[in-house]
Amino acid sequence: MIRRRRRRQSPMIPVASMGDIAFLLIIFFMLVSNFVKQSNIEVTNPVSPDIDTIEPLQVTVILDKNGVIWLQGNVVPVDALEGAIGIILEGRKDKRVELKVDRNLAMDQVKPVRNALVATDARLVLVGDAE
Amino acid sequence: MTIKRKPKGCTEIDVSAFSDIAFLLIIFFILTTSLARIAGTTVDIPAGQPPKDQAKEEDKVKTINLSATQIRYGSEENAPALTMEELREKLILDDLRNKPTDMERMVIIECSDDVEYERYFQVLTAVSKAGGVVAILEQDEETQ
Repeated sequence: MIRRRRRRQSPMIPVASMGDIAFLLIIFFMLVSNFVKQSNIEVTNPVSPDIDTIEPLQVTVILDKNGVIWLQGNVVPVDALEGAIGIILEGRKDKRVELKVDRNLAMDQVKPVRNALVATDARLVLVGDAE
Repeated sequence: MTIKRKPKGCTEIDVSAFSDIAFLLIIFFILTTSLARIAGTTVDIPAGQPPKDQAKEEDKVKTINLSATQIRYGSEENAPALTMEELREKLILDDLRNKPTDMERMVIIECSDDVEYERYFQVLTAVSKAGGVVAILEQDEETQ
């Protein structure tokens, strides 16, 4: 007696919903992403044991290792910093400004920047690395 | 004559490449996303000139005198030099957090120009953590 075997059908995995899942993930990452704007700025954070983790802020001032002032990723002269910060903070509820300064910079280069920020109604948030 | 029409096959759009594109985009976002949080401290530095009556009380206010090599803390001019650890201990002993007025919580940081920022940052964060209100002492241009 000859037995006829049924032809096995190749199994199919439905992938149609995979795109939906992937796009949901994309939307999630787009909403939580904070694009790196300062990758070209050379700055080494100071270290201190007395600091805690904080949320990244919207307004950032960076003083890099060469003493160049960066406001929101753009170079700004020290004389224009106070005015520029005032314009950015106008109408904002959150007046916090993140100040990131290179650890090896001497205070004579930091003081004009700090004083310009203190002169505005900004609340300074000094950024460093926790020890 | 009868014309036989070919049966129309249902049209399907191939979506298998769709997920490939989507996952490539996900990889891009994973690589460019910074999930790491930053560390720092919020400092409220009073702006402007101190009132006249405050100047009289300035003698009582604690001062940190910060130079490139030494840290001195106290209201006396000849306060002893301290290490960073000793300064932290002194600030905790002073119990600045529980002082009733801002004036009593105030710590003036006098910093010379040659001090590295990291040293200044460590002192300032130590004062903030101890509950102190940081004030900056700037000399007038005329007196410099």
